[in-house]
Amino acid sequence: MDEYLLEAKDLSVTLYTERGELRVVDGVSFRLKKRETLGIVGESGCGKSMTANSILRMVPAPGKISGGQIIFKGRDLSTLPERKLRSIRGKEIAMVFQEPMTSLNPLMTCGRQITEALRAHEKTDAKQAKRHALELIRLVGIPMAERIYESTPSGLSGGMRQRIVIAMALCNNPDVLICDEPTTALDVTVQAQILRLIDELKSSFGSAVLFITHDMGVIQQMTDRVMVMYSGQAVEYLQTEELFRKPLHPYTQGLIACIPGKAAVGHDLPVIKGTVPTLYALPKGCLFAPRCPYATKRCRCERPGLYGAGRHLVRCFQYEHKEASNSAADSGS
Amino acid sequence: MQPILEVEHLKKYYPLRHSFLSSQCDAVRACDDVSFKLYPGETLGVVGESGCGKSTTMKAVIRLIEPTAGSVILQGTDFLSLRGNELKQARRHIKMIFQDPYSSLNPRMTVKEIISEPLDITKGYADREEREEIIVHTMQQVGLDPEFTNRYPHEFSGGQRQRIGIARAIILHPEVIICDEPVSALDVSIQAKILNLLKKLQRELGIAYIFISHNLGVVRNIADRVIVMYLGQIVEEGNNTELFQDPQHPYTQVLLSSVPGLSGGGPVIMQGDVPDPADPPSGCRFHTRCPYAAPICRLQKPELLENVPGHRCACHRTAEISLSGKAETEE
Repeated sequence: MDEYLLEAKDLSVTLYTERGELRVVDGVSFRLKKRETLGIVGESGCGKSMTANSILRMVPAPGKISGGQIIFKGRDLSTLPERKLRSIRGKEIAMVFQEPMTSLNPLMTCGRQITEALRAHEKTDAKQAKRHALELIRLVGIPMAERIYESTPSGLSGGMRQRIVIAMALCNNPDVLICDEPTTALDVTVQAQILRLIDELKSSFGSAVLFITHDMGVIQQMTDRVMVMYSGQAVEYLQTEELFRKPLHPYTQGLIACIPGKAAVGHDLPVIKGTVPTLYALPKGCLFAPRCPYATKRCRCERPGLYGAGRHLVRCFQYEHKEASNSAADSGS
Repeated sequence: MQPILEVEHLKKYYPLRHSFLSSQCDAVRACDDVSFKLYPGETLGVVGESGCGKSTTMKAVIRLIEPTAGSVILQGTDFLSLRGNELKQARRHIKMIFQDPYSSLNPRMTVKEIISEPLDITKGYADREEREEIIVHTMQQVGLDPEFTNRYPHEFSGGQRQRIGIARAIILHPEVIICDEPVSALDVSIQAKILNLLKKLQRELGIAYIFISHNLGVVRNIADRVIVMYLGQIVEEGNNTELFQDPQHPYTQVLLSSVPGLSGGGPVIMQGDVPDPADPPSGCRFHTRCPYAAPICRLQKPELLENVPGHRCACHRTAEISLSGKAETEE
């Protein structure tokens, strides 16, 4: 039961730029069980995509994993030799990216791209690979698989392209599927199709899913647990239903409150004052303190740790001594 | 009340070159026979998937692209027949805010130059002092610090750039502003601030908005009435509450149910993608994806009828569908 498939421990990613070192991911930890979906939410620049990319060591150029471990099946991916990591990438851990056009090669047929991913990890002959690829194309809900197999991505719609990307990600039955904003570029009706597809495939393949998005509605529909990120830090870990019922961190509360669909019609939306701090000049204390309505003197000069009990952790001094009462209230409700 | 803007049978066709392989299709009907009215001080939401013609229609209204046919009556005058200086003067009454605050501001102009440009074009001031006063006042209205007048757009964040775009739109006190996805490029917390700003300006200046968005949550919050478009045509129009709580058209029902977290029930999954607008389906354009499609839908184009006062819907089977829709919600 408590066997974790993927575990990130105190993960940090630093960008070494000319203007200084930027901690874009700062001590993030999470665990992922089989058949579980963990969501990562936050606004642009909070480090959610960096966290996702760092798992397979795909942090772009000036960036590096500067601390922590990524444990996958007993091995630490952050120190594994590149050659061994390559056998995990796309096989045991696969990724679906936001923009389906840029993650597909425009000059290769869709079929070729899927069989390439297949044959990179398994020794199969071309015929068998093609049969498998056609099967996958049908599996992700594309009619006329043979025709799509022969066509290049440019002839397909956004939804179709994303299905091809998903077919590629699934071709080696991955244990962990990382979805980085897989539906952000798509229309709502197509989004609904793709989300349904990911959910169905999760239950039939038994994979664990790491789902990164800024859309709270998608989080609500897709995930079991959520990690909320702000300026590179995880500020709250909680169950998805808690996120909408009783978020504890002031930032999470603000984020939930300002979703337009939930507020009363025609009324002004509640807002979080101020803006996200730049990574060049982070506040000395709690990163959210300059915008927080409850900030005290202590918040402005001291960084809070993670407080709370069990599955609900909050990075806020308000909950430092409330661990017992908090968990009691949880079990009561 | 007199409508401030009346659009009738507006069409915008993009001709296609004939190839000897493709048979009949001669044009992409991006906007095909669209009619609606806009009243002073209200917000009209326009929703639909990408490629449904919502931006094309509104750009044709403001004549950023010339419509193929139809009429646009702005404050009683025929906007489409205006030429030259008359058009320039009439344009002060109708303005536009664009989606991408990065590409809609000239990077080589200062904030002051951007905001004051409409003012200079229409000579809307008596002397230098008044001009300065108007610029400072407008910047304050949209929540920009007047000290930033000499900065360039790249020095601002996405939310602030959108404020610059809004300042440019309101400086001449227009009666109508077309907002084309004004918050789609912004994060939720910034989105909320811009929406609140738009509402504040509407209260203070009495502007009517046409609010284009694919985000139904945003439209639900800001709009008084809503138009739903599909493949260049209006399929449903109604006031906010009615349309969101009791959608008549099957497309609206599917669209609403697809938004995670907006509706209570699970999504109604629709088959396939939006058809090719160059070769739209016969009869009702939605029949290829409609869960309720009947033989008549394939043959005959449904009229946009006002079954309930103030609520128009283009569907052959509205009566039957709304019954089954109600049965679902009672469960």
